Amino acid sequence: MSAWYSVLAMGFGYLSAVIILLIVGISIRKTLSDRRSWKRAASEQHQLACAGELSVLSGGMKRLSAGKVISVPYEGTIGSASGCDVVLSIRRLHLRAAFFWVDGNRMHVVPVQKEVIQVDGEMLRPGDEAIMTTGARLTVNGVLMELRLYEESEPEAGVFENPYVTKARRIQAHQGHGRGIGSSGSARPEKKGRKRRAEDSEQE
Amino acid sequence: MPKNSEQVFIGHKVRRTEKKPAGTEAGKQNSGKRKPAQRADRREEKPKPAVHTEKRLIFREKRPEKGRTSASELRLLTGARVDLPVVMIAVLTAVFEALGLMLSAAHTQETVGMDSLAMIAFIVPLGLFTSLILPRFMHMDAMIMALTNFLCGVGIVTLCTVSPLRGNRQMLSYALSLGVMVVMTLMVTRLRRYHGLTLFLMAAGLAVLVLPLIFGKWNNGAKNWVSLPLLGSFQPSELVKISVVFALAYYFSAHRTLIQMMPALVFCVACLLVLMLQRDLGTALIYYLSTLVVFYIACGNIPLTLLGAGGGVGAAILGYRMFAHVKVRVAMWKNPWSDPTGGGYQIIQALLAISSGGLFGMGLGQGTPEKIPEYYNDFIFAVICEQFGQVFGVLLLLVYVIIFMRAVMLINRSRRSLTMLLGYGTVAMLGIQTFMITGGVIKLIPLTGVTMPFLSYGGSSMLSCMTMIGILHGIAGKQQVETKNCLMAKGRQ
Repeated sequence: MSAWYSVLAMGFGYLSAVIILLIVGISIRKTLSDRRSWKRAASEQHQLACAGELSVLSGGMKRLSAGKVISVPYEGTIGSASGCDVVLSIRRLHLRAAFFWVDGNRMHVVPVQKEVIQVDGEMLRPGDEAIMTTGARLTVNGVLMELRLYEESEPEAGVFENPYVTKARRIQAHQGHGRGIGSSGSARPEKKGRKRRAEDSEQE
Repeated sequence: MPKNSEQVFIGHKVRRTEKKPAGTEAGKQNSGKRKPAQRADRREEKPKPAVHTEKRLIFREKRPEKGRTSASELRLLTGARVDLPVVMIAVLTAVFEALGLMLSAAHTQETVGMDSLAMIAFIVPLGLFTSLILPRFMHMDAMIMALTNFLCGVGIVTLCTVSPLRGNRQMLSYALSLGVMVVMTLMVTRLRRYHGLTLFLMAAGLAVLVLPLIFGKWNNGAKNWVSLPLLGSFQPSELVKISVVFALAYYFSAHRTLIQMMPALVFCVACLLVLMLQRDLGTALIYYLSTLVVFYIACGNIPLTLLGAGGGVGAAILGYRMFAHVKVRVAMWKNPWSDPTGGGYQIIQALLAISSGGLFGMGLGQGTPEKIPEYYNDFIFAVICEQFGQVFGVLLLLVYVIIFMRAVMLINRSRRSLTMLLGYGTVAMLGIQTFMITGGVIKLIPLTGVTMPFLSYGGSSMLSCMTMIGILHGIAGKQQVETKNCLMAKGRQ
């Protein structure tokens, strides 16, 4: 092997060390600056992490008066505990009243307590799954709220996937025994969107 | 705008205050100290500054007022941003690859011919395209992409020098894997329902994992390779990593109970059993530890996690007693010089290569890497340390750490438990694999036969690693799309 190659190889070795040092330095600096930006943006624009919002229509509670808007994240729990993702300061509400998750332009709600949650006037049993779209009304212990989801694409056809409701309960719903479960059967509560409500009001 | 004016930012408007030049009458009035007696007289004479208001959008502000996010931050949140640091990393990577491939051509062929120039013309634009242009059109994390390209570039340059044929094959694997990565990124970004995909991956994973037991041949004490007529030879356990990650993420996400987690646990146990039958214990260890990490992150149940860890320790002791080659590996880890020409030969040669490289290496193509068995595969890190030096080796490990750190930052911003667990599973897989092989090469832990992610020769390994990087890009993309939706909805409101 020629001498000039050895010199070039050694030179390339030193150059490689400089290149990787520069890459590491640049990437650490960029990562830390991005982290600061993300943190700052997340603290100031906390609603960016939300899938939608619940507007309180009526309630009468001092801390949850009409007109108040509550941000709804993509999944989590609804309850009166401060650890819940949607905290509702409603008197005699359970610490954790329901689970929910947002799937595109639908919000799935599954109560874990009985006689607590109504969707468009339909009372849900524990384990039942209600699928809400924009304009659906949620009543929690007498406090009426309207849902608005940010994603407004057309709903997709097909069976809704739900990770919470057991298979037995889904079958029961298809047979018409269940109530309020998110299946395509007749037992599923009919949810009204904005257009539907507008049509109803026109008819009235 | 005149030069003698200053800008005062007020919201979206710019108020411009005109200053009088120093030589004019008004300028003289404004300059110099005034006596207190004169001040009252001249208060009335003081000309009011002319105020012009211009409606102008402010795109750059140093410190936005509270409650407002700056334009650059919005770009960061809502779309993939390719900025100067990423451009610099991509350019440095391109320089490294071009010079390295030219030097390796000079080393192997004694001249820089057309074929080596063609290789440079293929890999350098590919790296620049994926680092700089692709993130502009797809929702990806440009920094992770640029660092991954650098790691792949180091692997290809080293392989082209020490084994040109393998280097060329690795380049093709890299190009194909980038295509698969793009597909996976799109899939994770766009997909809303993972149920069908997870079930398919689990079924396909188990079916593929069993193939070596039927068609494979024993090689280096393990039966983990399979050669099929159309697909060629590949290592199924590398591809099944994706299935494991998806299964863990899907069944562990969204407030699941232990019974609802069972399908993923059963799938992982089945995979571990098949891997034990193949005696691919290194990959089995990666699967097991990743499952444990994701389980703990998903449920936070310390007693159950400790129980799982205890089960793993029991299995390790059982494996040590059952398999002779595990006993040999542990003995060679304790003292490789007890059998320097037999079981300890590989580790001794690797340690000698690392030490002979010194701080800045012997130079590309120098040294004797071919003395290390599996130098192009499991022991590529020792070859890199010999040729580029220990400083380069340490910094290379730091690049891995930065990728994982960045990935964890992305994952922590995720709003869904499924994508979060998908990301953590990916990082756990890659991180544990990197630690295991690096620790094995430098004699920190007993040697396990796994590849070094992005660096080692092997199409299956490259494919699985780039697919996992695609999952991370998909998670980043999903967040960006959701943030954009939210901002648009707020804007409409």
